[in-house]
Amino acid sequence: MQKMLRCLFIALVVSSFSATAQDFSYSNVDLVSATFSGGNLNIRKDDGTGIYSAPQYVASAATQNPVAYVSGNAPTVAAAFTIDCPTVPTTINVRGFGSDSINFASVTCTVNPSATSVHTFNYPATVGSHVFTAAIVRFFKPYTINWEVSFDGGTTWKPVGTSSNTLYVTRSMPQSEGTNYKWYHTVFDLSCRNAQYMSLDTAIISHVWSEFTDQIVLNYNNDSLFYYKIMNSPNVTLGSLLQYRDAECYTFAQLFLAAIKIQGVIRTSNYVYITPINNTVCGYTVNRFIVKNWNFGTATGAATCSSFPWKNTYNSATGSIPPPYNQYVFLTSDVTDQSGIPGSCNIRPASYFNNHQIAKIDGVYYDACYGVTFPSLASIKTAAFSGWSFRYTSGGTTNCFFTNNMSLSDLSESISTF
Amino acid sequence: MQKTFFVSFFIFLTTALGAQSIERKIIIQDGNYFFTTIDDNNQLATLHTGKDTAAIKNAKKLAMPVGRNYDDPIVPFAWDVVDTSVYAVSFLLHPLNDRNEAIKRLLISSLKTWNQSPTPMELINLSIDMNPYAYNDPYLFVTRRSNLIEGFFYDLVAPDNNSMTMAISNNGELSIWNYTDAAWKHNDYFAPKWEHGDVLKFPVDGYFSLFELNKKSYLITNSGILFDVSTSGIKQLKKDLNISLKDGFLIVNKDLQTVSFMKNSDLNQQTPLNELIIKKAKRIL
Repeated sequence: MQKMLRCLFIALVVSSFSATAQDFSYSNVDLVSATFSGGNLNIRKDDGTGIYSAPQYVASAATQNPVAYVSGNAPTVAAAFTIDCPTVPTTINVRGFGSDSINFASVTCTVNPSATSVHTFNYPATVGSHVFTAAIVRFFKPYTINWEVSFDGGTTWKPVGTSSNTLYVTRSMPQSEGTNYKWYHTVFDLSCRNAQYMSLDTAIISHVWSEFTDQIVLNYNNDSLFYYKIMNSPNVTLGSLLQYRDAECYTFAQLFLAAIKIQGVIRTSNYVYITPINNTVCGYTVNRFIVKNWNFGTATGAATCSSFPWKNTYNSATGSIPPPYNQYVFLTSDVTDQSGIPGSCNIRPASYFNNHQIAKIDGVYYDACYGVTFPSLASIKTAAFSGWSFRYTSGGTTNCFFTNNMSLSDLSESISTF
Repeated sequence: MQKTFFVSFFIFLTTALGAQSIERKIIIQDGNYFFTTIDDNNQLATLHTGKDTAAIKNAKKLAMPVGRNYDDPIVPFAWDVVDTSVYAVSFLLHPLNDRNEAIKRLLISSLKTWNQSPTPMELINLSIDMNPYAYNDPYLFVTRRSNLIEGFFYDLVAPDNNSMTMAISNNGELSIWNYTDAAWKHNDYFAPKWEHGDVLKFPVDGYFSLFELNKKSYLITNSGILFDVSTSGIKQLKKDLNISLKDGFLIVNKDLQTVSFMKNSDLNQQTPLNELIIKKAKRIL
């Protein structure tokens, strides 16, 4: 009898302890970080400081890092947690429910020993339940994973936090990086944001192009990218456009083409350098053009060149756009710059050029800094130009002569591959 | 204060050699060395110069109103020094920079050390309106021959103050050009002129460099094959020098009439240049 009572007592004690030990419903479990892996693409920071690192989600961070995959792949995610409780189980089950109905299966995770009440446990890198649909562009802003834990082997579950990242899915493997073309954050963002759900080359191209047509081009952070915010902007590379958010024409063509290349769309001979044909008039080479609109006033230069009778002059040392680089400043001027064709985030950009750089895809000329297209090279001058010019420099003064007769010169193009 | 900080910071960036590569070559002339670097931000060139018995860390750094762009593939800065002048092809990417007017001649004495003035903006303005030394006929010829740009590279040397030689390639073709303004200088009323040889099939494997030695011009390919070039044609001299241009730079010693190659990894900025050349450079000619 005594023996039976002793056994009963022990059973009650053990039973009681066991019941108490399994009830972790109110324990403080926190998501610490989430790490994406399994073939995700490197994403370069727009500020030029390198590639976003893992873990891409850190609960304590103010901003989270973006993630990118090629379609047809499933995301692989690991996560780290803490549990704050004096008494903890040896294992905890963890699972996640991600956007696009991609689930991360329950895994039994070992709780790491700790001298304090705070213990850590890690959900190992786990492949999502299905792939991002092949050959389709996707844009998740955000891509969330709702994480849950179970203390009873998966019978009951408790939500413990949500990881949230911007996630891009490119249609195909992006083209390899080059000197200027790199896998910048904004390139992924602009491309996937506009080409969401697209698959065909032509659809991707047209939807990416839609970012440029309203002359409001935004980076990943919804900041404006300016075409000549400073009229003398020295920025001529894609990297400098994204870093400084203000640049010349070259960079907008590069951004447009980069946003196509990042989807794996291949178009060669896509980058066009246009400049006057360098014909000679009055003994000088015609090598300038002015983009609409310029006002042609009283001509004072006919004695030098009757076919280019309008004359402006400027100080050669300071150029036609001296500090603070916000307008043309001429010593004398027969022609004056007016509002005309607006550029990206700028209704009155620089408009006196020797050359211009645009994209050419499937026979169409895409002028990304103005958000307009042209069916042919010949159509550009009539649609966009106010006139031609030649100039010479003498005694520290640059003398420019203009015509509004568009038949007096033409454009040439040099086509390379960006 | 903020403006002063930015100007100072910019000058610091511009004057530090840092990771900037030597563009093609070091020239030694009259006991002085010259080499150029390109600023990563503004495309402008800096001419570094000093005594060849000194370490290059002490070079005087002169701001040049010329430069080159970062378009892919990179064409390194084409430049040469003759006596007191620098010759350069300024392929700055700038909406007012005319490639037809890209060939400039600058007096070294006119160049100033990097300072608060002239600013990079002022140098670019100076560059785009600077009268060309010669019109860039080779470039016009090539781009009029085909408006498709593929394998486009060029380099220029100036054997003397009256002439230049340029090699230019595109679409697997190479042409050699000679320029002379001697006729003009002798008051003969003929304009300075370019002449070129036959357009040759010449697949390129990256950029090439020209150099001049004993009145002859040589072209070395990216993979280290040496050619004797002239408007009469090109002739391969050495099959393989076992060098890669992108891994280093040439050392054209006009005093000794020698040409060597040194790897970038062997460039020690603390060692006197003449000692470094003896220790590390590989003689080509």
